[in-house]
Amino acid sequence: MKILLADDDRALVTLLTAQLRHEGHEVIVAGDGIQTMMLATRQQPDAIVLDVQMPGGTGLQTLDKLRANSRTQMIPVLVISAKTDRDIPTRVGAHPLSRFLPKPVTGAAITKELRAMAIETGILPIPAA
Amino acid sequence: MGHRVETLCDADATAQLLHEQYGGSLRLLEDVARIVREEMPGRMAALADAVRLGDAAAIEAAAHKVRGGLLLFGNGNAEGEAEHLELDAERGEVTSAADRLMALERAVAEWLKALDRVTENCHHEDPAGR
Repeated sequence: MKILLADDDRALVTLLTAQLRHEGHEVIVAGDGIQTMMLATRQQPDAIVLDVQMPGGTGLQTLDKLRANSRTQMIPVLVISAKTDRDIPTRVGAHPLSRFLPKPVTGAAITKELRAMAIETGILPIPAA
Repeated sequence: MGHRVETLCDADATAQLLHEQYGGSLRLLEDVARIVREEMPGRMAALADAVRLGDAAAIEAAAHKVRGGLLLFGNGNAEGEAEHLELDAERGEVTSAADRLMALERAVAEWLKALDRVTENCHHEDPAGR
């Protein structure tokens, strides 16, 4: 599965990239909201893992844009955050093909969520268990 | 990830962290630890600036960044202090931010020492450094 990992935290990106590659995924990385939109449009990843706190438009603003764009609106998005704000899961859940996963996250937890989304939606290729 | 970095000086807990969170890769753990060590002073400086200015939005964002780095090695005292600062700032409460920052600075200093011991313990676990 080709995953676009959108997070500006270099340490977390290093960790998750290694873990997701170990899980058999191809990983491309975006460091802000603008880059996320650009890479999502051009590279058409199978799924996007999107952090809430990012420069160049927050993750939630970026999610709105992804859903409003015909080239990205059908790409499943997993929003991740260490924010404890209960409003975030609600706002994420209001979008189709979008789920919330609280930090700390691991590559295995992301794969598990994407697998559940794949089975539920039939859009994604189902990653190995 | 139920680890607390303060307890990871214990070799068994370190081995568990290495296995569960880093897939047994000491190199990956060291890479992540190096980045966190490099970036933590800048993140703490940004937080101190925000506290000095009394800027709630900036405190919330900077405390969140600090907490993100701390969470990579489990939750603990420092992470808890950073979360207090973040949540207070989110509510617009900044009157206790300077005191909380001092507590966080002490906790982060201890956390960084503990992080050094984690990597030392990992070398005992995996001298080959895989």
